[in-house]
Amino acid sequence: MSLLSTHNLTRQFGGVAAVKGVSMAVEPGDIFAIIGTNGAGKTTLINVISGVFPPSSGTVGFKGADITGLGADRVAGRGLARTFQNIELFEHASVLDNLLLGRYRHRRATLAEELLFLPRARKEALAFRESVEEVIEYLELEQWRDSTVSNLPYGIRKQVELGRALASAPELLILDEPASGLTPEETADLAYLIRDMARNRGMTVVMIEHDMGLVGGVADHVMAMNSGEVIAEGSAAHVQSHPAVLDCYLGTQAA
Amino acid sequence: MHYDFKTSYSQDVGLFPRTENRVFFAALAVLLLAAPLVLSNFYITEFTGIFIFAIIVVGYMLAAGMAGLISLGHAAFVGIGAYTHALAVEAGWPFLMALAAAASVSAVFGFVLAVLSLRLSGLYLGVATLIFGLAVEHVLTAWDAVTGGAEGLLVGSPVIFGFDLSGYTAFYYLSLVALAFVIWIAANLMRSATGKALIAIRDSEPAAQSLGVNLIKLKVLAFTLSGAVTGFGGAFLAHRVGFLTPEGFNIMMSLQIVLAAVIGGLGSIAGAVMGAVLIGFIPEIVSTVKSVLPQSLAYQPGPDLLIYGGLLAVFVMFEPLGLYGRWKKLEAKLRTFPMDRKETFVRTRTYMKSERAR
Ligand SMILES: Nc1ncnc2c1ncn2[C@@H]1O[C@H](COP(=O)(O)OP(=O)(O)O)[C@@H](O)[C@H]1O
Ligand SMILES: [Mg+2]
Repeated sequence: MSLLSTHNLTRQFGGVAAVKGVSMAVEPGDIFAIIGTNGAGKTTLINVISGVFPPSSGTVGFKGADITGLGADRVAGRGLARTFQNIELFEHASVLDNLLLGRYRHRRATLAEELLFLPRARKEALAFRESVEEVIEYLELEQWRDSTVSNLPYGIRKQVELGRALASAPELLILDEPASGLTPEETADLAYLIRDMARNRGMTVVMIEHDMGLVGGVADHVMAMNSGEVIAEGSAAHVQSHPAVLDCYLGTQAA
Repeated sequence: MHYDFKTSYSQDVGLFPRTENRVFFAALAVLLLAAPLVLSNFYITEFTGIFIFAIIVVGYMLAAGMAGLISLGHAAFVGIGAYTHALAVEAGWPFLMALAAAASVSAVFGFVLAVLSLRLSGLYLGVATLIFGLAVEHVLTAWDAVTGGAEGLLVGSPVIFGFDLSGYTAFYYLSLVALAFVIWIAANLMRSATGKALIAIRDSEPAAQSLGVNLIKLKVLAFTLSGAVTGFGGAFLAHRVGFLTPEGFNIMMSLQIVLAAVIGGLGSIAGAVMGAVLIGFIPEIVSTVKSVLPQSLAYQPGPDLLIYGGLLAVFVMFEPLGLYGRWKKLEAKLRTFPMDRKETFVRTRTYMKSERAR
């Protein structure tokens, strides 16, 4: 069964439909890429999936349950983590605190236990700290651990945002343009990480990406969108050579 | 670049990560415990007032500094706590129960205020809390059957287990213990998941939500806790002033609280305490300055406001991170002395990842 599925998903802003009748299915362990020109509705689609706002119509299913209209916090609680197209970090907090917030959905201690720092709160704080260190090592963020995020260079900030999502140990990871603004070398590292997360760490990855090299290199399944609709779907090679896709990327309006 | 060397995760979780921290706080504790032995009653009372003000500012910091919910009416919580406590003591409640009542009633008001202003943030929240502050002051005046109105309300002595602690020295220690307790609670919160979630909603609501943080719940929680701690401080203030009048909890006090938090450094507990110390000593500084000024100048109205305003401007311009930010830099400098270099605090150049040290 699919890990994530949408059925006829539509989202309107005013009179304009940013997403129109999108049905998709993401299989467990897959790397699923969404491509499309600017304004195609990709970000809106994942905003609806992750609960930032509800769909105008249609449904979203995750792990066999209907999560349509559920708030972002509750969707996150079910094991979906995401990054944002324009990095959303906790600017005035350290890298460590940012990553620790990834663990938030796993907390078990009650407020009273936290306020008095009773054994369960202490154990939890230590366990969170320890699991965050794994992410720090995985992404090679050691030297930035205690730095305040607002002082960090762009590439590192992207890493921290990815790390924060990873720290929450999600089943489904959604990345919104993870390679934008990265150097070719950083992009190559990212490709390695994405493949490793899906192949060896049991994660399913949905990513919006413009870099066709990256998409071609890692994606199992590609979906192309234009004006809110799905225009092609299948393997990277198939989608890249699909006439409708070529049309909208080359800007020709051939029949 | 400055690196902080650590050898165990518990250092990131503990309250005193380094030996220096432990030594510093131990020395501070000894100093504060010994101070009444050498200080005159005047200064003992002065210090007591600062401890109490620090409790209030820490309470304020939970909402404003941590969760980013800037309130301009926090004197209301101080007043609610002070009056609740005084009335409970008058009704014959034991001190600790009256204290719990003060914190609880203020917490309820924090809760209600949060629920009513859920949709507001920034300036709008500021205005809403300002109005709340004015409303509470008004009710305290108008409800004279209970509060004594403008005539005021006499506050009983703090009596714990039969011991009257209203003496200068006894109340000094009582307030010091209360401050230590509040700091401990606040520090515990900030090293736990819930405290970090407060920071999260301050810095990015979408990101906080995407990690499972329920915005509404956390905002309400921040205001409730903040109300409780601020009201707790109010209860001590009641004993400190001995006689309550509504105008003791006016806008001026709300502004002092905001100022102390901003000058101390929004977002840190240590900053709250530092700000409280500085603002708490200002009347003292003002009267000293006045005593050396010529008569004609000394009796001009409003030097306090001028000093508050001036301080705020100076900090906003030169040290937006507040006293605490300045302290952190000094501390790091001392730790690396004599190896410290000016460059340590120059913002790091923005390297691409490919240039990163491996
Ligand atoms: N919150 C919003 N309010 C109004 N219009 C929006 C909103 N978010 C996106 N849109 C519109 O929806 C369309 C699709 O945008 P988006 O999903 O960001 O595209 P993409 O991510 O594919 O570049 C655009 O025309 C955009 O202006
Ligand atoms: Mg987008």
